[in-house]
Amino acid sequence: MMEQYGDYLLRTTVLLLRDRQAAEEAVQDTFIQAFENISQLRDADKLRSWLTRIAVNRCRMRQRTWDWRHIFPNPRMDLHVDEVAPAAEEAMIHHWREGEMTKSIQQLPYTYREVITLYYFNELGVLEIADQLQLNVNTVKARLMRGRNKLRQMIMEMGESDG
Amino acid sequence: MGNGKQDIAEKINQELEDIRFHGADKVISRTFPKSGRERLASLWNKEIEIRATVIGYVSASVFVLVIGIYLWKDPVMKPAPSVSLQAGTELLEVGGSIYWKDQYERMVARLEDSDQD
Repeated sequence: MMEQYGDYLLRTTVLLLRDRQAAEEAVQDTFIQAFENISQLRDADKLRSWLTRIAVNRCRMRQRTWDWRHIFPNPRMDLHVDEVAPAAEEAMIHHWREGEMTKSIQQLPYTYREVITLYYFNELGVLEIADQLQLNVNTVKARLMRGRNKLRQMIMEMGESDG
Repeated sequence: MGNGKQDIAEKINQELEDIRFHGADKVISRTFPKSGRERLASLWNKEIEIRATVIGYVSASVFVLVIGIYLWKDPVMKPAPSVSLQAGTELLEVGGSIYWKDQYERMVARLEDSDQD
């Protein structure tokens, strides 16, 4: 299990926590928790999703210790958002320069970083993310949209600074 | 080219290819401790979960208990000494004013004494 999912979980936690040491500890805690509670896993096919959920909760716990503000969403974000993945924005992210996607995701505020990571890196759907994070679907959509907008803004700023 | 989402995941994986998990031994030693030292470390690092409501109830109970003990030892609402001293005495009405009978008699006695002098 650790061989199969260790790198995947560590990459997820590195994206979320930005700190290699903290990410490594979060993954260790994830596996320990998984071993201790393995009986709670009903469907073996959902192992990856279950481990991801534990890892994300671990990251949240670590985040909470230093900043509550980044955990709680802005209430104004829960507006209706119909569009999930505008093609233009995906294309923009797709044209990201080599080596800078990770850095840019890590620069996002935690609430956006979380959904962007789960959506693009862990390849979860909006419903799955809502379930994993215990959030409303519209909240997830709104955070995704804002996260993408912020990423787009970063690309533009980087383009401007490069002349 | 695959779909955008997959490409992005692939790209991130490429960027993070040096990120490898090397903590398996630590996990095993904490999950299945063999030596006494590992057992102690495992016990020390054991996580316990306590519900926030339980913490709330316990904190509230301790607070109430501490306040109760404090008030019991040093009551704020002490009875007024003058009232307790004067309890059991009678009131007199003299010239439209009300006096405690014993105080009134003491004052009259003092005035009589001063007149005799």
